[in-house]
Amino acid sequence: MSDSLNVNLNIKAEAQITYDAIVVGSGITGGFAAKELCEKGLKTLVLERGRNVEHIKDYTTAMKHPWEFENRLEITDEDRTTNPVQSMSYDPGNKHFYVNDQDHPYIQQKPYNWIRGYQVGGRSLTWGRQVYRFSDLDFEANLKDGHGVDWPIRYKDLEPWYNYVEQFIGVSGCADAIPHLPHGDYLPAMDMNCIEKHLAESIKKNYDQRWLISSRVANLTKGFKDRGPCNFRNLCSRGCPYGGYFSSNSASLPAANATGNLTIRPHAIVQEIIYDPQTKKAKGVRIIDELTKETMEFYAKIIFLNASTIATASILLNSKSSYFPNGFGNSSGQVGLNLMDHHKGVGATGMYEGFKDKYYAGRRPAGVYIPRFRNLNEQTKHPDFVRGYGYQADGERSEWPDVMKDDDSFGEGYKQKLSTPGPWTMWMGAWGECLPNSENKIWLDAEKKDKWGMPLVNVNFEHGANDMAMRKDAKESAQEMLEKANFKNIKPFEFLFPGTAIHEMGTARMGRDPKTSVLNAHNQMHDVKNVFITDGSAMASSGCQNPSLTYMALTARACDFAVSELKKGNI
Amino acid sequence: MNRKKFIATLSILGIGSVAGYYGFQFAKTKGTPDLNFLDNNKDLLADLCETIIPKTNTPGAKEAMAHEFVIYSLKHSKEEALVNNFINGLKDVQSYSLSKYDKPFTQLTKNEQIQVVAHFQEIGKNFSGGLGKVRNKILGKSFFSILKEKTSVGYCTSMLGAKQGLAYEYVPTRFIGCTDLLPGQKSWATK
Repeated sequence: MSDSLNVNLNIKAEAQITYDAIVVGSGITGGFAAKELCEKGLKTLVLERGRNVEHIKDYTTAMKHPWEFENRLEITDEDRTTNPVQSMSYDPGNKHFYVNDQDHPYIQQKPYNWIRGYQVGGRSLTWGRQVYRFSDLDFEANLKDGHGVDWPIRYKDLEPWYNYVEQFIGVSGCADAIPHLPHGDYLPAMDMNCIEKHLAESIKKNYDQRWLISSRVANLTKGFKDRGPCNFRNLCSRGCPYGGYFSSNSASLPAANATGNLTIRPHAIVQEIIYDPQTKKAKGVRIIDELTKETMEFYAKIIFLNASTIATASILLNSKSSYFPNGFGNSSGQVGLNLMDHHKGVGATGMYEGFKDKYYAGRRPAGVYIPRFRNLNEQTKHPDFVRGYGYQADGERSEWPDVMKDDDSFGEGYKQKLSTPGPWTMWMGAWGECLPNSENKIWLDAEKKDKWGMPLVNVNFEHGANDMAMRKDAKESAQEMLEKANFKNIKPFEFLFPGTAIHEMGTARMGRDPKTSVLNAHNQMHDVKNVFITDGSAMASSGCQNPSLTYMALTARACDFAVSELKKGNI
Repeated sequence: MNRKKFIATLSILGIGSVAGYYGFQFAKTKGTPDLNFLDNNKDLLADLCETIIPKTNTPGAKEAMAHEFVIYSLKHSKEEALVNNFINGLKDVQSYSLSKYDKPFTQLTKNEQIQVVAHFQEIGKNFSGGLGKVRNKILGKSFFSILKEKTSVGYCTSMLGAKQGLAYEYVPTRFIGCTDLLPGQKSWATK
């Protein structure tokens, strides 16, 4: 079949329906869980609701030039009309790694962009690749300020697993000693350009406890484990033919496959988890074939749910029985609640008059980072909000896309301006922590269904007063830092489209108390001991760091625990 | 157009011939765009694109086929006002050239073509700033802005434009954060 892959595919008329482990989802955490479980000797079935995407072969746009796209790299009005949500994130080069909004509707109680990629590899193909560790500033936050429930783990619990994950995925970055942004052993950082170095020096001179660093990013500045290096094309989200960045497709699924223990079943929409009241464990899952709409069941000793935050909660809520009338493992009533997503799209830009004789070469698939500097301690306490935000930033010279907007000439002079590097500019945008709040939630619609008969998801999400106060500060602080570094023409910006950070989390949170949380300290369901959830839904707070690295560290740690428990006969 | 909106439009746009022009233009933004006009007037469009980005020691917009992108882009636009403004603009360019020079645009000298485009640029920017935004909202972007924007995208993302008009590296293989800008060095075609 056209989308066959070079791993053991389980397509139809399954002779084999029983495995040691089932992993639901093949994205950044599902892929990692599959690798861990397979490497520990478990026959593992990965269920993926979308099509297969084979590394390199299915990166159909990866080597295309801009002129090989009919509408170049611009989306069309047709995209905006038929895919109003997904088209906020895609372009013609990576559109095929996003779902179609028409096929995958959901209900926005308030505006919320749920951006998805249903295929083998999920959104690990298109992710932003920024990888920052959480610290105890994050793990202790809920306990200290009373929002949400206390994380049942601390940094020391996760530290070895951060190391472990980083050593597999490959991270380039600076190992600056920043107490609340612990680092690992990295590949060489990507260069900063002269305007970024200028801003870094100014920040160092003008502020205490504030840094501007090279981003820490899962792109390989050197060859690593037969992958990469990065070729600095900045076209990552099309899939990388050089394996220059980490994805399930480029790294974890091939590693899982190398064990001989992996089976991937694409086109498998998980309908529900099947509970066995005799053993008080999950017996398996029921799926709907995406193409034939037939249902079938698979069974395993342990189940990892890694469908992504909203989808994982939806599967739990759809798995109702007389034992779990409110959804699978939902005795706490917390499944679907506490949806969090970073707020972004606020900051400032500025122009700098110097360095006219300097430029750069190559296209860096990353920028620079200003880690959180608010509410680190008493000295940095902000009166208007708790927690904080970090800035992703990027310096560059004005090039044609900027010139065509700002210039009002035409003819030879205009052409000259288009083809000449313009002034240096700096862009700084905040990614801010979102407090857990039970009013921000998802639930299944009682009536409306999708074309596979699955209930539509309702999303009710709104950034609260703390998030908004933080945004005001992020806008002002960005301007202030640019002013102190002698930037001109400083312009603040602010636009808020909840969901577009694509960092949704929290809908099956970890916690110490089964009455107020869904998972324990090992991402094991309080209610059903052989089910583990290690995607974003497990998060008890959001931090302000890009979260995928933490999801993967939680995944590796939970896999280790699960297999150990399995061997001891505890589950 | 309803009377109230028409009067509101007039009061925003001012009075006299300019208002008359825009009142007339507003009416023309409505209706199904005559897309065939684009295909039937490729030479005209190509020369207009070339006037925006002319051939120098590197290829111009015409050679880079920027007009083909302009046509593709407009044919796939669902903004009726934008497409109508553009097609009406093309027609206006034709009639203006004929009335002023007694020749179609494509037969004018380079300098005359520049004068014609400058005329339409002036019309397009009569109301800059806040009033310009109001104007854009009511009438859509001006012919000149659309022409310039789409020609620029079409040129800078074309093979000739990217490789010769700008500097294009297909597979850079390295990133150097700080290099010396050499005399005459062109800006990068892609970010």
